[in-house]
Amino acid sequence: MKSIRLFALAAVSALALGAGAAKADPVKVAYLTPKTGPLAFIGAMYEPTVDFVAKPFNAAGGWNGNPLQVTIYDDAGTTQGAADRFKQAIADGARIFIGAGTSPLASQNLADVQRWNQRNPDDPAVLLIVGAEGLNFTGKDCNYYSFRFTTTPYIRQNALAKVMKDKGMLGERIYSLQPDYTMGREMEAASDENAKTYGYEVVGKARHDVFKIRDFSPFIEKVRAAKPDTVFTASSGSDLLLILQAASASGLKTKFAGMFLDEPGNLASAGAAALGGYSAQIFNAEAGGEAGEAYRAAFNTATGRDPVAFMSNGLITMTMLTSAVKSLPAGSKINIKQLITALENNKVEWPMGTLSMRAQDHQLQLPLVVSIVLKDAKHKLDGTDMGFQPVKLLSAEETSVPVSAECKMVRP
Amino acid sequence: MKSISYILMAAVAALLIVLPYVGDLASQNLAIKVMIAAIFALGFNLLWGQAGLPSFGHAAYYGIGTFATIYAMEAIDKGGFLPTPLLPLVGAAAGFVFGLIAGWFATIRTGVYFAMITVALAELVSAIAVKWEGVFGGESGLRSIRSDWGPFAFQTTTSVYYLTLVWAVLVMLFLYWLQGSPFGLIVRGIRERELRVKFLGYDARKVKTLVFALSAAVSGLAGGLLAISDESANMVLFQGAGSAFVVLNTVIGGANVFFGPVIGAALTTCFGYFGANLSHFWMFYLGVAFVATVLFAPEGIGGAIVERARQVRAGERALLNLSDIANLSALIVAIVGLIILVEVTGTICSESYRAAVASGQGVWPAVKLMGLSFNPLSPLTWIAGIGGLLLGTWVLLKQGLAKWPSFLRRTELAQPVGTGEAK
Repeated sequence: MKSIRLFALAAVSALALGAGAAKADPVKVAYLTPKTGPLAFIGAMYEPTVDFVAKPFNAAGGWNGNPLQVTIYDDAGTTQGAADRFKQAIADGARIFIGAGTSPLASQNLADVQRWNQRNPDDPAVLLIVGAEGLNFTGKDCNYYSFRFTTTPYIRQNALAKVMKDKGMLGERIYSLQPDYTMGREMEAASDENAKTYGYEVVGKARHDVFKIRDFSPFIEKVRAAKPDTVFTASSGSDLLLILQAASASGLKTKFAGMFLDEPGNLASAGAAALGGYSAQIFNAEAGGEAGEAYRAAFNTATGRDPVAFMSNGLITMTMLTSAVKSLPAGSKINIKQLITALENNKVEWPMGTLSMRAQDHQLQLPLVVSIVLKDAKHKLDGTDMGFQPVKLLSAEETSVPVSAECKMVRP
Repeated sequence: MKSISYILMAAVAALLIVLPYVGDLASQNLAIKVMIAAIFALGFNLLWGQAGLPSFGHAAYYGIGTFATIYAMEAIDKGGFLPTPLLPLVGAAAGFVFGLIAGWFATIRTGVYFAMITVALAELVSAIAVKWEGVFGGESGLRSIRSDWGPFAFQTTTSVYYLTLVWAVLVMLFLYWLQGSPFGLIVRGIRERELRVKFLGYDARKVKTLVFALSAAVSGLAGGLLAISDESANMVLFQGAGSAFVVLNTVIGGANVFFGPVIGAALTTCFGYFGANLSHFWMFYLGVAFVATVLFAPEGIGGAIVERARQVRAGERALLNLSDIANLSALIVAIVGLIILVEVTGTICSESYRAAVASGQGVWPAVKLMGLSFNPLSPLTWIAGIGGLLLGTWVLLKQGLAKWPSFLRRTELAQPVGTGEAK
């Protein structure tokens, strides 16, 4: 029996001895994203956006001749995986982190970065959060060393309500049908808060379990009973599809407004049920005019698909990072504090308008496109005959919402 | 033989002790995660291997241990009195209490129904964790920080490594002792023939509930160590993947050997750690390994080692002979064949590849793999893949290293496998 114990111990220790080799010179960026597991679609969305920005940047000389070396680490969609990959990336020498996962994963990344900085104040790391929309990242957890490159449910709800009100499509009766987790609860709060501003009344609220419900018709009947003009929802993925299909099957004529209809594959799965749905988008080629079309075409040539949903956030993150890195004075190593200042001060042109980073809470200030799903949209999606037709392009100033009172950023 | 094993054991112990001095941060972290996965798998195997009760919801107790420990860490940070090195006991206690309740419910039924109850309870905890933001922190989870205790500082990964190592050794000693104790014998008796144990006057239900709680406590302790290592807890811990991985570890390592789950945990954790960076399809390979183990080598890797050790001791076989080399080569050929098939298929189905085909005016670029280029349009690629897989598998089956699954062998029911250490 001894030999078995030995074998086991030997296996543990032999396998434990793997070590990452270190290289010098390049600006190391660790890109933490789920590439495998149930959230693998997220990594698949972000991956093509990395090279699309990094390649031309490096071809043009990078940072004073030092290339930007973006290594993708697969966190497998678990917080434990994210913590492991963070430590691995630190050991590999990366101090610039891009957290491209869901809110739980980004929270883990942020916690790891915070603790690293607490213990190594002379060698800090910085985190760029790509797609996590939780309020906390620019609210109670706002941090000098972290930046958020996407919206919050407040920003999206505000944009949707603003444009729909302007165009007279909002109505006065609003229903809030939300997934029962942080994002949905925040969207619900946003719908309540904006009621006065946009002159509507929230006539009903419901929350549903996430990815558990197969038949949404009871929810749809509740919606029908409240007779709303517009339903706001932060539901995503299969939940959103099932909601739209249930609504369409029961002949409910209410407009749906949300934020996730342009995720890859959603239009194809929802079919005609998606028609007339409103979405607050980060990027819409048609809304961007010539620049937008050119950007879409270039991205399509390089990767074989159009930039949709959070892919645009991936592109924005990389673009703003490269632009900030470029502006730094030459040296042997990137100074993280200089990089943070550069990120705060940089203004970057993007086909939809100007992007900037608000210094107070490190929330991206970005233009948004409110679009409607129509058959006569210019760009059809997912091989369907439908696409997103822009209703209005809001500038970064118009989409901006005030800094959260909970954010108390400590600046060194 | 005996002296060799002692020397080897001393060498392994020495290696584990000096690891922080020779390895970097990443390797220490990997070793910590291996040990945590090993403790978790050992706790799970107490229930499965020893008591014969299949639980498919062990992530619940693991996660509860993590959350309880995070709360305790927070309390210490705010001036509590608990020493940091004893934190895993908080996780263990939480796991024990919850395991007692869950075990009481689950052991009302046996077999498939027992397994269903464990799944349901895990789902229940998971659903509560998603909704109860005040306790579980919602999507952003909870975080805390390790506090120092007296002369011991716990800020570095090295200190966490040693803490985990000490706890891993303690847990292994405890479980090993438990296995040999009278209680352990009754537990195995229940696995073999519950009715007889009842006739002997034991309350089988009570024993099962207790062993369930102990298993949950060890899992909770593993969760506690995770909290110390990662300093955060998230509701994601409660989701199905955790429950699935511990089953995977135990089956691949071998449920009937004490160290089987440790081997399984070490292999899958390391595979996940390195494999994820090497191949997009590492989870698929893990799945294939699991299915292959269940079908062809149900005793797992640990079981195979025990069997070989027994044969060597009995003088039936040499430690390594020619047929082993043939078998190993066949295994490698089969694996290489599988890798070629999976990677080439996977690559040409990816969007970036299709984009490359489109931009190259319909030319299909070669797939780079293991330093070689494979042309996906050439039949040679596919012959190499399918041929390697079939040839390797055929040799393995012929040689008897792998066994046909029982339902294909058309013999009577498979014999119960020996209990390894118990003999």
